[in-house]
Amino acid sequence: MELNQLINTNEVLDIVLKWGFVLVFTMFFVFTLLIYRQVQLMSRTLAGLLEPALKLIAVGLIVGNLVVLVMAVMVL
Amino acid sequence: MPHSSHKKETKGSVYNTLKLEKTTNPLSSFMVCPAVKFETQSAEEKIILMLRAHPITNLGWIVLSLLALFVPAFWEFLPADLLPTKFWWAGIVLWYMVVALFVVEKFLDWYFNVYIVTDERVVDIDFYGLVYRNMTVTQLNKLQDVNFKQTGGIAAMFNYGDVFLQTAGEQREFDFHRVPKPAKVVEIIYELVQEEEQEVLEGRIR
Repeated sequence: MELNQLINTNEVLDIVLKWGFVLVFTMFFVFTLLIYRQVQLMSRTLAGLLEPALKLIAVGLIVGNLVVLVMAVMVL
Repeated sequence: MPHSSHKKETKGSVYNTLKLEKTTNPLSSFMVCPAVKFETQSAEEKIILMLRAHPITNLGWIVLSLLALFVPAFWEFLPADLLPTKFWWAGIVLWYMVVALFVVEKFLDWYFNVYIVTDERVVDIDFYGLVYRNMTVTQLNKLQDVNFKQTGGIAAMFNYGDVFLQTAGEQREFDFHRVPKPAKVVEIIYELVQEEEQEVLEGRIR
């Protein structure tokens, strides 16, 4: 295999891997939104326990995943 | 005097006895007279017990999650040139995100799947998956039989088991799975049913 071909193969692999990771991170981001929705639904059904803390954790997951998603687009 | 206020004054000996043992720990799996509200609770209805599965039943997923934390350490044994470094790091971040979501999901599943016994009825709140919920209710005066089953050494050691409530209605059986102190739960429900029957006899039904 010539050098040019090898470089091209690596570039294609890089692009495929990058957008593969971005896709998976996007799916995780959607999943964290669903978890926030779930916490809201659960808190409406049963109130008076740890709702503020659980909502904070759910928001933390959303923010964390958003940061990871942006970083993946920029760095990878 | 209206029935409801009359009832308020005369009813609740079980509640009045148990409220002295009120539980304040929100992570407890055996909560007596907790300060919580559930969706269909009426203004005068008092929660006597709120139960969830015994904490020891969470041991499986907790151990699994702890082991999962160390999995990326073994990735070093894979060939170094398999992936560029930046993708290795992305893989590690992805792995820990999976573990975090698994832990949160399992905790929510345990925390919000509860069994509630009020002075009027028994409520089973179930959440399945991410957005599906199921609330099953039965009146105390429809309960015909209450019993429990403790199977296995771990259940006996940590004193948890299944409580079965047989109802007179169309719904077949009401089960509390792996709840702490099942004998105590049966005793309290039995007392509440007797109290309810007494109210029916005296015509003090809300």
